[in-house]
Amino acid sequence: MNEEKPTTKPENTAAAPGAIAPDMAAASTDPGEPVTPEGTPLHGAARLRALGKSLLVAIAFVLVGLLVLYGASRIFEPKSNGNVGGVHAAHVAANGFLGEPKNSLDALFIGDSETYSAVSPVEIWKAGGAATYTCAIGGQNLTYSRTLLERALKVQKPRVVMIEGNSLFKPFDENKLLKSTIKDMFPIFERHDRWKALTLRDFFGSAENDYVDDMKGFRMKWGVRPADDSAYMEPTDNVAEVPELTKSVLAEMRDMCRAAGSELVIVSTPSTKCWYTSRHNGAQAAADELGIEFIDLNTGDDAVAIDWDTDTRDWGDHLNYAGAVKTSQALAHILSERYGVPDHRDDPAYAAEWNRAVRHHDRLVEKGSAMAVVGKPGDAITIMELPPLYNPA
Amino acid sequence: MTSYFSFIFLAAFLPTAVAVYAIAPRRARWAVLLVASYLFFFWLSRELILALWVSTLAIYGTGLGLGALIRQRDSAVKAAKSGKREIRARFARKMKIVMAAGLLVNFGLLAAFKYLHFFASVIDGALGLVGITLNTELPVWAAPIGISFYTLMAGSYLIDVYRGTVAADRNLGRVALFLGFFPQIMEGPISRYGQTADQLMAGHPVTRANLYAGTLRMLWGLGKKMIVADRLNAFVKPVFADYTAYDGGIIALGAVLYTVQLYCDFSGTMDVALGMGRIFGVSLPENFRQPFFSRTAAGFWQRWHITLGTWLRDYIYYPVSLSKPLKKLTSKARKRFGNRYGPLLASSAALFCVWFGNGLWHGAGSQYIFFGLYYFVLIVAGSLIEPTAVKVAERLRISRESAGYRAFQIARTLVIIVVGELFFRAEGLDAGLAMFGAMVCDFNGASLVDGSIFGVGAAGIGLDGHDLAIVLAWVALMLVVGLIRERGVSITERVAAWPLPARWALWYTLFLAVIIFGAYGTAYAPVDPMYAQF
Repeated sequence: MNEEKPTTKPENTAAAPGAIAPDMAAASTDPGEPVTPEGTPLHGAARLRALGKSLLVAIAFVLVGLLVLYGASRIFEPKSNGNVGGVHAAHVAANGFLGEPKNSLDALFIGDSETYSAVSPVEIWKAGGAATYTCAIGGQNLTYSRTLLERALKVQKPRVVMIEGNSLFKPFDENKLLKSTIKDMFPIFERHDRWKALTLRDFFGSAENDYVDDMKGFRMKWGVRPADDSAYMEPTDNVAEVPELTKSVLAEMRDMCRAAGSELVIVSTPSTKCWYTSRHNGAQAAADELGIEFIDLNTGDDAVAIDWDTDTRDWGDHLNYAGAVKTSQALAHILSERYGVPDHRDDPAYAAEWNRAVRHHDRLVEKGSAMAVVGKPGDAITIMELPPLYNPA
Repeated sequence: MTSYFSFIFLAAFLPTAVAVYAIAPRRARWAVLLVASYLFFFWLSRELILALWVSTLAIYGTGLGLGALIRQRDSAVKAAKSGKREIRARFARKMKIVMAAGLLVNFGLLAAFKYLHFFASVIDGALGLVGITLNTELPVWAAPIGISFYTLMAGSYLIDVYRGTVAADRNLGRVALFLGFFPQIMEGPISRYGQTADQLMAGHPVTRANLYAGTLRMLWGLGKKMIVADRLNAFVKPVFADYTAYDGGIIALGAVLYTVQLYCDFSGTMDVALGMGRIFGVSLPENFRQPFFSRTAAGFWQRWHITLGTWLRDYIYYPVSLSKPLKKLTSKARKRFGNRYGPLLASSAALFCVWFGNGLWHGAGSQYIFFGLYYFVLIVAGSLIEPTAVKVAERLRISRESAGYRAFQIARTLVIIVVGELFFRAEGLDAGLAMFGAMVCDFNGASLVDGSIFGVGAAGIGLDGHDLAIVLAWVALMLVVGLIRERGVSITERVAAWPLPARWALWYTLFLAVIIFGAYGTAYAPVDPMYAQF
């Protein structure tokens, strides 16, 4: 402590370097009024002119700022939808629909890790010839689902958009919603990390969506950790609440789909950990309120015949490849029977693209089956994930 | 909304508050600030706003009570022909009781919210030593935001009224705004009534100059927190959470980077707070003054968290040193130990109270008490060694004002600071001691240059070369700014004199820098302002 004489007066620590500038201290005789440089208050027309000038300066400042944000966003936007520097691999897969031929997809599946583990568009194609895509990243929020939907509807006209039921029960606050809206307006906020990987192409090139994901957003995962399904979908009258903010975003997505001639449907993929009857009840109630369909693959007529001893890779949380095959085949059936999605397998416009995807897919299945290991509950099993990113042959 | 750094706060709440404030008539502007402050508090702490209201009403009521007693005393003294001293003493006793009641309410709330479990565990430990075990179940309460900060401000108001430094305020709105002003509420600065109360009520207009300077300062603070502090967290957190996995070299680097992180986080938040104050025409006190240029540990605490230091000095150190028991101790010690060491013993007793208080204020944990006493020991030792150091320097003909000696002092102080912060951050005193031991005994410089630093933390989360580069660049920039400020130059004033295109370019550059280099988004875990936990 310093050796100053004790004093009862508080030290004015406001008088440190960086203290307030002269214009603050020299406020006019009537604070709040515009003044001349000498300090005499302005009146009447002169005062209005001064206020008007301030307003114009403020508007100009904001406009130039928005321009700066816009310019930065253009530079930071990836110029390819493929694996460019600074973009997370998961996002590349989820956005892979950008590389698909325009207006070629019949259905989109949007959701989180439940979706990308359970829904394989290639299996759906094999079972019924529908062209679909899975747009999902791990832990995806409904706000990002909305972003993906908006992006997709610019280049695709699917008949059906299936949103994962799990998304209804991942709450978010206004902060997240606002951030998501701003990120959609100014991609710099989402892409800023690309500063580590910017190239000349980012500054001077234009966007080319030249990357095609042969797995169509699906993540092929192997390994078996059986689930305890003793309490799975036990009946109850409880209704899990879907937050108001979630419902309002869903309503927005429903309207976006309708404007594009699509139908939004809530679909819950099989999971013993993430899905239970109260959530079923909550999702049904929300779907009724929003006037959209709800299909539950866990229970009732649409239940998929999952064998919880062999079809899950993490004790019931997510399905493995075996479970995905069953789920995808069920979805293929639903798409064609209920939504009239045509069979494109003989359509030359689709054949080359999708047959190549099937070949690639089958090669990976062979590889995966050879490497997969079966274990008992509690065993530390190696789950092998095949990388979703690769160049088409 | 969790802090000043939430998107919704910066993009929605603050601009709305400023706009409403600017449009409001001058006489109503204080009310706009008060409503905004309560909305902010409620948004963060919900029903715990009741604690703030109780504190506000308590100091308002107690202040008025003290004011009344002061008036009565003054008229009694004036009217009396003799026995004025007795009258003063009588009133002083009454006033002390009233003030104590007010302080008890405020600090009692603070103790209940923050220290209940700590005190209980200390008591349990002490009783356990004599074989008694109590099995009390204590409730766990989340603390209202900023309670450690506004409680000190409440205390300072009461003591200032008692001392006659400020008059008791009849205006409840002013008292409420003083205590609850939202730019200060999360992490201070801890201001005095005489400094800010009138400014808050003045309703200064939102001028272009203040808007520019305020937002520029906020951007500077955002840069420090989001570019440096949040980025370094990816390295610091795993090192402190799992220190046994790392050698002394990595741990030492962790301590250094934590010190940088803490400074950038806290001073960055202060920049945001002071910038916001500036927008509303309120000059809040500075909390930092280039602390890493300090030459001594004592000097450090005059440059770091300045308002806490001055609070402890004015409301603990001086009262304790001037108290009767300590004055008796000083004269006894003078007789026993001579004129040099005698007063030192007494001032050390006062210092002990300060440093114990400093440690305890930071948290209910043994490592915080240790942190406080660490500085106590160093500062007292410094005073003891001082005359010897002067003699030694004379003998060796070293000028203690030379650049070389000053550099040595700064370097030595930096080491002291970093070690102190190691203990501060460690997850318990045991961990701190273990980490310190590893730093000293298991130091391996090789791990700092062979790339192991990039392996710290979970895959894909730790620092890479780019991260280190941007941290170094921003720290270099801070060093330059610090050197300029150390010379007494007001950067705000200098920049205000620049032509408009240059001013705008600077603003947009900082703005873009924060957006581009900020450590936010999917690749980063969010980091709340660090001092808000205290």
